[in-house]
Amino acid sequence: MHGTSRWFPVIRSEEIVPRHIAFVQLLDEEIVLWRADDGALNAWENRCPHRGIRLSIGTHAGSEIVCRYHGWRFASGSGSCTLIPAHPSQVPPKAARVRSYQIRERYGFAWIALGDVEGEPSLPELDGLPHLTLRSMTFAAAAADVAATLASEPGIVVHDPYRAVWERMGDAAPMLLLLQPESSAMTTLHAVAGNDLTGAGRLAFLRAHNAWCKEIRPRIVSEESRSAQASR
Amino acid sequence: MEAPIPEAILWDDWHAVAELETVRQWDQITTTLFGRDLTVTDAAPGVRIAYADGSKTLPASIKYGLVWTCLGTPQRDVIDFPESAEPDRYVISTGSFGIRVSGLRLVENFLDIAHFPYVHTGYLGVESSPQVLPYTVRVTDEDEILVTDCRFLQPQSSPVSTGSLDVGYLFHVLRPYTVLLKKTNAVEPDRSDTIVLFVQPVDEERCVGHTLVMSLHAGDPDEACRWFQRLIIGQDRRILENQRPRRLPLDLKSELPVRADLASITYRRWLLDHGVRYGAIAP
Amino acid sequence: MIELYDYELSSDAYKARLLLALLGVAWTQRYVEYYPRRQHRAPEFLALSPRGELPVIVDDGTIVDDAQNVLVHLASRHDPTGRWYPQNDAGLTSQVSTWLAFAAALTPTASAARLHDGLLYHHIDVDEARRGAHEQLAVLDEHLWFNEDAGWSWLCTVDQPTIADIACFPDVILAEEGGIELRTYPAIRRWTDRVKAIPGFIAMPGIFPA
Repeated sequence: MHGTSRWFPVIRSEEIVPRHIAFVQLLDEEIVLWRADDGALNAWENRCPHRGIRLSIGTHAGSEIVCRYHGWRFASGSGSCTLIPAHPSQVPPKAARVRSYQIRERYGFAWIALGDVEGEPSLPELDGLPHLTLRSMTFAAAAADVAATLASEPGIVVHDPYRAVWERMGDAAPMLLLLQPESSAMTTLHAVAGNDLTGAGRLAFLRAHNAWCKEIRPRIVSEESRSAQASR
Repeated sequence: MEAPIPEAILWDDWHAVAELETVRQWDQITTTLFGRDLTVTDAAPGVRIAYADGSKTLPASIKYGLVWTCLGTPQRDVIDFPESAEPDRYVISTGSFGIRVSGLRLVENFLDIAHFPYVHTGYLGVESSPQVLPYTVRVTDEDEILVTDCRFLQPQSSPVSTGSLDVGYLFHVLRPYTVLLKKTNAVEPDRSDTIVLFVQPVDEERCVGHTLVMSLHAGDPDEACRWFQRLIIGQDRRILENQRPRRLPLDLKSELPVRADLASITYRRWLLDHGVRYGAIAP
Repeated sequence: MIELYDYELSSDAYKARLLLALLGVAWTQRYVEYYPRRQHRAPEFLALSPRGELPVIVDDGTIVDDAQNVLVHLASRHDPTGRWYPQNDAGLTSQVSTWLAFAAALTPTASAARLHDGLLYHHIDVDEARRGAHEQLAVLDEHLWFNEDAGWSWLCTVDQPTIADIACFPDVILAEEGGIELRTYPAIRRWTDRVKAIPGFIAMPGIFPA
């Protein structure tokens, strides 16, 4: 599928809190992210290989995720099943393993690639700068529709279908806008700015960005209505 | 777009579509069977069932406190259970619940004892005793699935249990959407209670579960019995709605079975052999 | 002893059960079959509470109805620490009131969608109910996100949970039973984890324990 050979940010790193199973979606794939107690970060298919139950409703047991349906346990790192409680003396078969995805943490985000990918997640505009991640926002629209709206905003330059740079008057550093295509009809917009604001200035910056996201929401329209507009 | 017509074995059978009591309360309800919207109207002593667009009146039957219809041509009657006539039993419908999953997944869940310690913790199982001992499954001469020799330690096997009980279970799949279990009665351990699940396929990925309990008077008082069955299906519902895909895969390799899943494997194979594809994923 | 008119699948009745459990207060169950028998609209129940909704408690002769009001009553009378319903700080009391009202507003949206899907309330406009729920959940997620950022774990700016959290939690987490996915509300998902981790937390069908 288009987009599998690239890194996408899917969540701010600090939102993957201890003993929590975060739940995201990328290109129609449902994914859980969880940090083992030793700090290892896992990105797994949201599906128990036994009977297809979503692991996002499972329990985080420190170094394993436990499926809610039959108590199968899956280990951090390998995703391999360590225990099938119905048959406690049986060694779980090798196939009892959750599919895992490549994951990186950079620029304050967890990044996932669904397929083969070259290189590492990279935002050269921010290299050498601090980074402040902002509240992510999900829109009920295709990534292309969100990108088209971003492109119509003053100061925003859309670099590729999933990435835009916003140089704003008065800001010392640029802000990166990164699109996570959840499906063909849903997109999450992540944002990271190259500043190290603190205190009231930082909060005002977060609030202003959040307000802007809500402000553009009604302006995001589908490609069909865009082309209808253009031909009028 | 017209909803697909399922295989004859499903289309030409009777399906429960409502509790009679609910129809009497509301005078008319709407429901959906095989993707087709129906109205069920109180017409005491009977009911009237029709397509919601008024295009056709459908056969209607009342049995076990449930309302039944058939969209095709009925090839057999609504199932008869001999124990429903035993004088010392309750025969009660304990409520109908919508679940966003294929009806075949709901039947499979009913056949599964390995989930008791995790989903029905403190009632039908305990996490400290999750082991599933070998049991027997066979397809009978009547072409039904019979699961026998199941035993499971249960802390509260029914609303009247006063302590843990090593409960014996028998499961019986009579039709693709009809399955029952018999389990040791908590008061008279040499007799059993029967619980039947009738599944109404709303469409390929949604269903309604109608539960019928035929339990000994000595055991469950009516109110507690209804409470207990709702509790159990309420616990199952959240699990089943988080099952992906929502349809049942018939390819035995697509979901990894273990020995405890013998009943489920047999059910999937039996569906495959009977050509059932509605609400399923063909191999 | 407190009598609770209860139904095991009612999100509103669960609010009362949950707070009673957290307070460690003993109670007895008076069973009212909401669905399918609609006993909450039967004359015997209407004689107790003309509104005909669950839960109702009878506490030492006092009849209290309305889920949010029941929480206020229980916390006011049975919580010697005063932490569940803080009343000596006007700003905080007002925050609690705001979220109690928010909880009540989930009844025609998230709760209605769940009744439609699960209990087959065929007459509910489920699309409208879901649309309303998503608008409310967006507000809640934003509020919780900024609270988290400021170091607050709960709905109100106080370092422990209040009846505001107990009032909002059930219909929010059960929204998924009405076809309203919580995936795109990550701050809400983290908050529901924290509620489940409160010592003494109890579950109900549709809500898993921690």
